[in-house]
Amino acid sequence: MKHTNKQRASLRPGRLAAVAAASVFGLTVQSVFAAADQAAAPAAAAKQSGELRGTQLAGVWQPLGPPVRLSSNPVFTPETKAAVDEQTRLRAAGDISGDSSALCIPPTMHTMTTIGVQEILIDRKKITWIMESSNGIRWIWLDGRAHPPADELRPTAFGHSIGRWEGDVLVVDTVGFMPSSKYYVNRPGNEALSPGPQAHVVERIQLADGGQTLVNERTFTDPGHLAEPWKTTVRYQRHDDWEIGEIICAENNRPEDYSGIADEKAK
Amino acid sequence: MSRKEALLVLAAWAAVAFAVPTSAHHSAAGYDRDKEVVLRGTIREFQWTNPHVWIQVNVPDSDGKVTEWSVENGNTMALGRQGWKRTTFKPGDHVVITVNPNKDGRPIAHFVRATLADGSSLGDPPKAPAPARP
Repeated sequence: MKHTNKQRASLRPGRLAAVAAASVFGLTVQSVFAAADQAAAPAAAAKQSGELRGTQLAGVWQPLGPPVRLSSNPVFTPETKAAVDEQTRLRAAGDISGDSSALCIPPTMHTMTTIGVQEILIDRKKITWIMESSNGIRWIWLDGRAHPPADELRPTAFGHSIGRWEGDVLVVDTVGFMPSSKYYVNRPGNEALSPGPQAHVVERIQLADGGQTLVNERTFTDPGHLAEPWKTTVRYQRHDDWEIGEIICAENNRPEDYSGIADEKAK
Repeated sequence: MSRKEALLVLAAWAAVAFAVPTSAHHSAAGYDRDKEVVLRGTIREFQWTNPHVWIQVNVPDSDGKVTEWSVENGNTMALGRQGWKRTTFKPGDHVVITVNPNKDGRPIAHFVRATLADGSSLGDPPKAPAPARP
């Protein structure tokens, strides 16, 4: 953990003792600090949750570039490639079977963070990230917690996200995706896959262009579907002049108008 | 047209070509993006709703037989930012709407651009800069 001068100045008695012991055993002061931090993990977590940082990430952000057209293509396993190719064949005939977003199930976080306007809000404990076009919310916990154990992790569309700071870069780790919320695989017909149980996204998020651009470098792994990690970069433009609003998909969804989806719904 | 104005026109087109389409909610593969059909008709209903807006327009053929078309576009927030309103299309308005038709032949289509009842234009492409004066 990186210490500020202020934190160093407020040495607790336990730390002073540790430093004294370190001088006896020839340890570096820094390593003792690390050990002391580890021992005081709950207190450190509480302290971190009280610290408000990264507020410059807050704002309304528009993904740049064509939607869901990402900066690289995934490399599929052979079986998955065959399945995606079959979707491409259906799309060419106008059939959008398999795109569950037409049934108002939003695509997963990896896709929804690239579609429509996004708003980032930050408090001392978390980031609240709103994906306008699905009325979707993801929470990125900044209080030092870990992901829940597997038997307590409920799979969701946008997953369970924890974040930590590496300098000015927010590193976000997300797991726990439900299969009905799919990810688009960067083909023109929005061919989509269900994330597997081991699907995992790591995002490195930072500002550029004097705070007017948000850069999100993502690495998506999905064993069984993707043969290698899928690295993409999404850039967002700040729009201080925009406000986001409510979009309820079920208000007037008309799946019967889409070829393939109506039959899927009946199943 | 001067070189500068030509560049402006090019920039306007580029803005359209790289603009984020308003309909990313689901695959638009049902529509034939390579085909444009011009609908001349009368607005029956404008559904200013989400996830997408729908324009219901009655279109007579040369024999006078009327077909009701359903024309889909993006969500109310994205379109609102482009200047669309709940009253952009009103029942009874005579309009010309260019669409990408559904591949399966049903009268369902995706919005491309329109000329409204008052003669103003809407959608893609935006108005190009005024032509150069000689």
